[in-house]
Amino acid sequence: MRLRDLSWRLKVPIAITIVILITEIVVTGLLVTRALSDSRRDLEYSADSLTTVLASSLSDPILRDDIWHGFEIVTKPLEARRSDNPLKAVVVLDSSDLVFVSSEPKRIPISMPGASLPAPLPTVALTADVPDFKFVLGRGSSGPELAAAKPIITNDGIRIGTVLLEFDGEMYAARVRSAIVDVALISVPGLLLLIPLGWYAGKRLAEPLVQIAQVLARVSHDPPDQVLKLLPPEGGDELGRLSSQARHMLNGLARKSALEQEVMASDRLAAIGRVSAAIAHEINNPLGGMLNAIDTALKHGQPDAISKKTFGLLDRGLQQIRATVEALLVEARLNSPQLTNQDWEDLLLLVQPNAVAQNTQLLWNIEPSVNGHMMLPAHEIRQLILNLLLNAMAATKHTDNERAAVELAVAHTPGWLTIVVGNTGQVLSAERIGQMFEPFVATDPSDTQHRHGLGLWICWQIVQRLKGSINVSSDEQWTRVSVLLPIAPLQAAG
Amino acid sequence: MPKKTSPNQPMCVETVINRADGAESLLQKSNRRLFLRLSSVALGAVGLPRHSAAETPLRFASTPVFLNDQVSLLGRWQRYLESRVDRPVRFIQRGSYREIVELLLTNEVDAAWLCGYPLVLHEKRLSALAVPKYQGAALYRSHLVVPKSDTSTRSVLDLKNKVFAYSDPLSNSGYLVPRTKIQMGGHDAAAFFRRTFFTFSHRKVIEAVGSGLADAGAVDGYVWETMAEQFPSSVAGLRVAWRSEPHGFPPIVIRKNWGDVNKQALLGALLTMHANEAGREILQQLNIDGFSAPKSDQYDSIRSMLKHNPHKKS
Repeated sequence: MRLRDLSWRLKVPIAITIVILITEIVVTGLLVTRALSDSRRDLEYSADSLTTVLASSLSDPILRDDIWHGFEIVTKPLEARRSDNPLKAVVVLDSSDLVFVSSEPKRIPISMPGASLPAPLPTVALTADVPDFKFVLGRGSSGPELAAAKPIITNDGIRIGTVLLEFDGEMYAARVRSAIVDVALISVPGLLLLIPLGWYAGKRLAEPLVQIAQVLARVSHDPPDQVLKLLPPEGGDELGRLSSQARHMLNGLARKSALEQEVMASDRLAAIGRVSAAIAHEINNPLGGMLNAIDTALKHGQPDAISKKTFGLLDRGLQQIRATVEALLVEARLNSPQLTNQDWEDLLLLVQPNAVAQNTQLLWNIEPSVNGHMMLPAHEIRQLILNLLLNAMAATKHTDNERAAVELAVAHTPGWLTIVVGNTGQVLSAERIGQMFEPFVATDPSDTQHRHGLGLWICWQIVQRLKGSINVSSDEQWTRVSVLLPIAPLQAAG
Repeated sequence: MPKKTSPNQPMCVETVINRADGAESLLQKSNRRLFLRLSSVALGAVGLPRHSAAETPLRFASTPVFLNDQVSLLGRWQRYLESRVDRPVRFIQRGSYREIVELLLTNEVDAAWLCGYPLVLHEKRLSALAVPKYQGAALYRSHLVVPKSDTSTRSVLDLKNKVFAYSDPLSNSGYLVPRTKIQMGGHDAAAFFRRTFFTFSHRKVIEAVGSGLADAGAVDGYVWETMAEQFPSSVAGLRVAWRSEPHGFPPIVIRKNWGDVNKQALLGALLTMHANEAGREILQQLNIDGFSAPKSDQYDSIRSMLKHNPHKKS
């Protein structure tokens, strides 16, 4: 698996863990380095001060060739040292670089040449001019080798000898190892605490990103409103803003999708309208001719009884065709009066018996703003609302809901009339809502035999002609058809 | 006040003692009697009229060569002597025989525990008052000490070009005896060893050989044996390669110009030490039997060795 295929859910915690590890390693490294340099510096400082004291104390014994006194001086620091002090031996060379005295005479006897001293003492001892103080930390075959040297100088500046310190490299190494172990032991609990914390924080940080990615991956598969619920909460940071943008985008998509659906339905209805009009026109012309011919034949001809009966049959059949075609094609009635308060009362009178008959509660809510004459054709509005109400009644007819209800709510705002007809019937699917206004489509699919009417198709045509809009919404409580109609300003009388 | 210690407490700690002022005032208080009480043994009678004595203290010097001081031991010995000589006693410690001899010759001290060798060197002005008895006789030997790892050395003459530790340039056992041996062996004692040094203490000679600083050293046999007895660990790893013939034990020396009364008082105090409990305790700690009067030939062996070691006698 490539790194870029790895989930951010893992990448972020891994990155944080790596950073923690690197930090710990660097910090531990620095502390160890510091411990090493401190250890070396401490040793160097103590060596410097010890050789200073020894050099000054040894001046007299060397000048007086007092070996025993010198021995007493060089053994004192070793007797007084602590158990972890790596000081191993003190050696004093005379001006000829021969051992004057040492704290370990068996190993480093009197008169031993400086060059024969155990390593690394010769390196510090045999530089002809040990400047003031010399400290050597080298690497020998069996570990570190440490030594220090300081010249023994008389008051008049003559070098009469050198004092050398030999350190136990193994003890020094053990001290250094102990310092490293101490530092490591300090780091381990920190790591044990930081890595789980870092991992947890990383997962928390990556979570919104992962959620957004999952949401976007589902956009084309699931409805936007379902996908929206999975988005992480919005916020001011980048992820919050990303979430907010994704939400906006999904909302836009949902709106676009709904709009597309509406446009498609509207286009389809318009096409149907055009086809219906064309068919009606094509049918009406010959139909009119045929009806005239029959009428003429019946009035001016002498049809026998059979012909009369046949003409009568033809006339009724053609009249039915005409009625159907007329119903299909709502025509503008130019002579329609304006909408008045009486129209609402008539509508109530018309539907109330139905409501009572099928035990449906009728909620009639004509707002006081709906008052007086309005520049809307009364016949068409009455037909529109009556169709909608009857349709609503029908929707509640087959439900077992004891609280079956149908409502009419009408409101008037400047320039607009809002009509809402609702019912407590079954919830309608989006598909059914999309096809609701098409002619000959059953509003109740279980009732295909009886309920394929033109009522809602007529409603749609009326609204279209009045340049309004019609919408359907359906949820658990109500299925509502909302009609918004523009009202032309009242024309001045005369 | 000196600390109280048990009688068997070791005696070989070598540090310079500074007497406590408190001890002095106590001594002065207890010694305000006008008459000096003389030893009953020395004078052969008890209760004789007492001589008047000066309040000036008796000054007694010693080096760490034998007296290995313990504050308590010296304090007890001091109190013992004061009770016997009826005057304050001051113990004076010095690091070498030379310093003690100089104090005696300049009348800075009255008596000292010294080696027979400086006594012989300065016998015109110094005399032996009493000689400690050790193991039944007023004699001791010089020991040649080497590490046990050195199995071949039988004599100092086997140590040519070695590093040798002497105790004190005025010590008989720790200097004169090995030097004489070398001279008598036909060598120049000054050039015989590769290196030599003085420790100014027999105990430190033992330490020097034990540590490997010196290949060998010469010590007082009395000190060696006392240390071997009281501090066996200090002589572990060492052996005595050679013992000298007996010599007169380092004596209590006085200056000849010191008053007779004083001499007799001190002599009496020393000679009777073994006869009383306090004295015996001190002797036990010093690891000696008691004190005896010196014989005239006590230090003849040293005198004869001096012939091989030219020294200017005073």
